[in-house]
Amino acid sequence: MKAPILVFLLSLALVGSTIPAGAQQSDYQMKTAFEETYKSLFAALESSTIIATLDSLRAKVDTLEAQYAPHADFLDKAIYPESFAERISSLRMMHSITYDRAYLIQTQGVKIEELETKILFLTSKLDTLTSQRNRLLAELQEAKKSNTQLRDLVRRLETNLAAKDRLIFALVDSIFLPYARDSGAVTDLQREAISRKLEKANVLMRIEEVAGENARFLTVTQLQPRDYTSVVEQYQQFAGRWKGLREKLVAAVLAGSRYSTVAAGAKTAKPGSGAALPAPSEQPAARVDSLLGLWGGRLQTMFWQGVSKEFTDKGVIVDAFNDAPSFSASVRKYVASAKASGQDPSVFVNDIWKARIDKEWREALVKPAMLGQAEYAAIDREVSQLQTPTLNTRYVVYGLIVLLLAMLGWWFFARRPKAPESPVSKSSPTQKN
Amino acid sequence: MRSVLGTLACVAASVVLSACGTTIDGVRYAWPVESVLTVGTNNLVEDGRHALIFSVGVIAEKEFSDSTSLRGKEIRLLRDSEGFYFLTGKRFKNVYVLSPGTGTLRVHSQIEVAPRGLEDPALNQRLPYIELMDGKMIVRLNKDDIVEGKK
Repeated sequence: MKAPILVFLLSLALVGSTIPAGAQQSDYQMKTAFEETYKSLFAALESSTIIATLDSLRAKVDTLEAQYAPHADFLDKAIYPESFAERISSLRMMHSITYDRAYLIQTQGVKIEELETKILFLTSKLDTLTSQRNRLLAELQEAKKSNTQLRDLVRRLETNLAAKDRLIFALVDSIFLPYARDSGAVTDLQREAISRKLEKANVLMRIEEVAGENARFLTVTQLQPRDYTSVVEQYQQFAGRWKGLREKLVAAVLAGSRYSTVAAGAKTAKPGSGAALPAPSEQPAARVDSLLGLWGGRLQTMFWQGVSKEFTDKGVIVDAFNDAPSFSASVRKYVASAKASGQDPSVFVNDIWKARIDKEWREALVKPAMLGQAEYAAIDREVSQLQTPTLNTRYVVYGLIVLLLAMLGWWFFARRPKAPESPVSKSSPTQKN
Repeated sequence: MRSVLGTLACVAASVVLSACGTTIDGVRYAWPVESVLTVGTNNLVEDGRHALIFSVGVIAEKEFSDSTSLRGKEIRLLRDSEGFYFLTGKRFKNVYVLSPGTGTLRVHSQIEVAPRGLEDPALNQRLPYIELMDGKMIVRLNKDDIVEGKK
C-alpha cells in the first residue's frame, strides 16, 4: 500500500516542481522540465496497479497538458522528432493500458485467484506424475519382472503419460480461460498476463517434456497390437491440441518477451546481434514440433513393423510397407496376385487377416493417423472376396427346415385319408340292370 | 568572325560564372532551444542533436587566460537565424559570437555582458535576436552587440 502512495507523492512533487517560475524560466529549462515530468509520469503510470492512483495520475496528465499547451509550438521544435501532442497522447495511451490491466485485475481478481489455485494444483499433480513416470521407466528398464508384471507396468506408464497429456492441456486451458476465446480479441496486456502465467507454470517446457516422454516411451516398451489403439489415440489428441494452441502460446510468450525487453530497455541490445537466431518464443515451440515429429515417426515405424511381423510370422510374403499407403498397396497387390494365380489364400485370409489384423489391429488401423476407417473397410472387402465359397451351416439349416416343411406339406395333402364317395357315384352298373 | 567568337566566349563565361555565384536567400539557421554542452577532457564539445563538434580551447584562453579552464564545465550554445553561434557559460563576462567558415569557427564579436561574470546564464531564441538571461538580468543581442536591455 505504501508504494502507490509513494508513486502518487513523487508524481505530485515532480509536477509541482516543473511549474514554470514566471518569466525567469529559460526555454532550455522549460524543455527539460517538460521532459522530466513526462518521464516521471510515464513511469508512474506504467507501474501503477491501483485504479485510484491512476485516476490521480490522469489529473496530473491533464495539468501537464494545460500547463504546457501555450508552449506547444516551442516544444514541438525543441523535442523534435516527437511533438508535444504525441507526448501527451502517449501518456494518455499508457494510462488507458494500465487502467485496463488494473481493472482486469480488480474485477476478475476472485476468478483469477480460483484459477491460480487450480493451476497450482495441476502443476503439482504434473510434478507428482513426472516422478511416478521416472520410477516406472526405471523399473521397466530393469526388466527383471515377469511378463504379466511388465505388461502391468507398461499399462501404468501409459496411463501416467495420458494423464500428463490431459493435465498439461487442462493447465493451458485454465490459463487462457479468463480471457477471450478468440485469440485475435486478446489485447496485448492480456497476452502479457497469460505469458506471465505460462512462464510461471513452465508450460512450454512441460509440453516439450510430455512430447519427449511419449517419444521415449515408445523406445523402451514393446507394445502389443491392442496397446496401439490408446497410444495412437493419445498421439492424435496431443498433436491436435498442440496444433490448436501453438500459435496462441507463441503469441502470448512473444508478448511477454516483448514486454520484458521494453521494460529492460534496449541498452544491452547490439545491432545485428542474434539476427540469424529464431525468436526466443519460437524456440520451445519449435522443439515441441520436433519432438512431436519424432514421437509420430517412431509410432508409425513401430506400428507398421508390428503389422508386417504378422505376415512374416505366418510365412506370407507381401511387399514391404512402412506406412498406410504402402500397406494398402501391398495388401491389394497380394489379393490381386492370389486371385490371378488361384493359390490357396486361406492362411492369408483366415490366419492373418481375420485372426490377427481384423481382431487385434483393426481398432488402431482405423484411426485417422493410421489407415482410416474408409480405407480399412475397402481393403477388408477386397480380402473378403478372396475367401473360397464354403457351405454355410446357417443356409444348410434353412434348407433343411424348408425341406422338412415341404415333406410335411406333402404328407398332409397327399397322404390324408380321402373323404367317403357319394352314393350315386358308388352305384355299380350291375345295379342298373 | 573573330569578334563573333569572342562574343560567344564571353557569354558562355558569364553564364558559368553567374551559376557559380548563385545564392539562396532567406535561410533561417535558428535553433529553437540552446544546447547545454559539457566540455570534454580534450577541450571538445559535441552537440549530438546538431552533429556539431569543436574545441573551446581558444574561447577558454580568451575568457579565462587558460585554455584548459573549461574542461568538465558546461557551456551554452545557440544559433541565431543568420547562422551565428552565441556561446557563453557560468563565470563568463562575455558572450562570444562565432561565424562558421569552411571547417572553421571565427570569433565574429565578443560582447561584454557581465563585468563580474555570469552566474547562471541561459540563451533563448527571440527572433530576430538572442536573449541572454542571468538571474534578473535579461538582455537581447544581435551578432554585434546588445540591442535591448542593460548589463
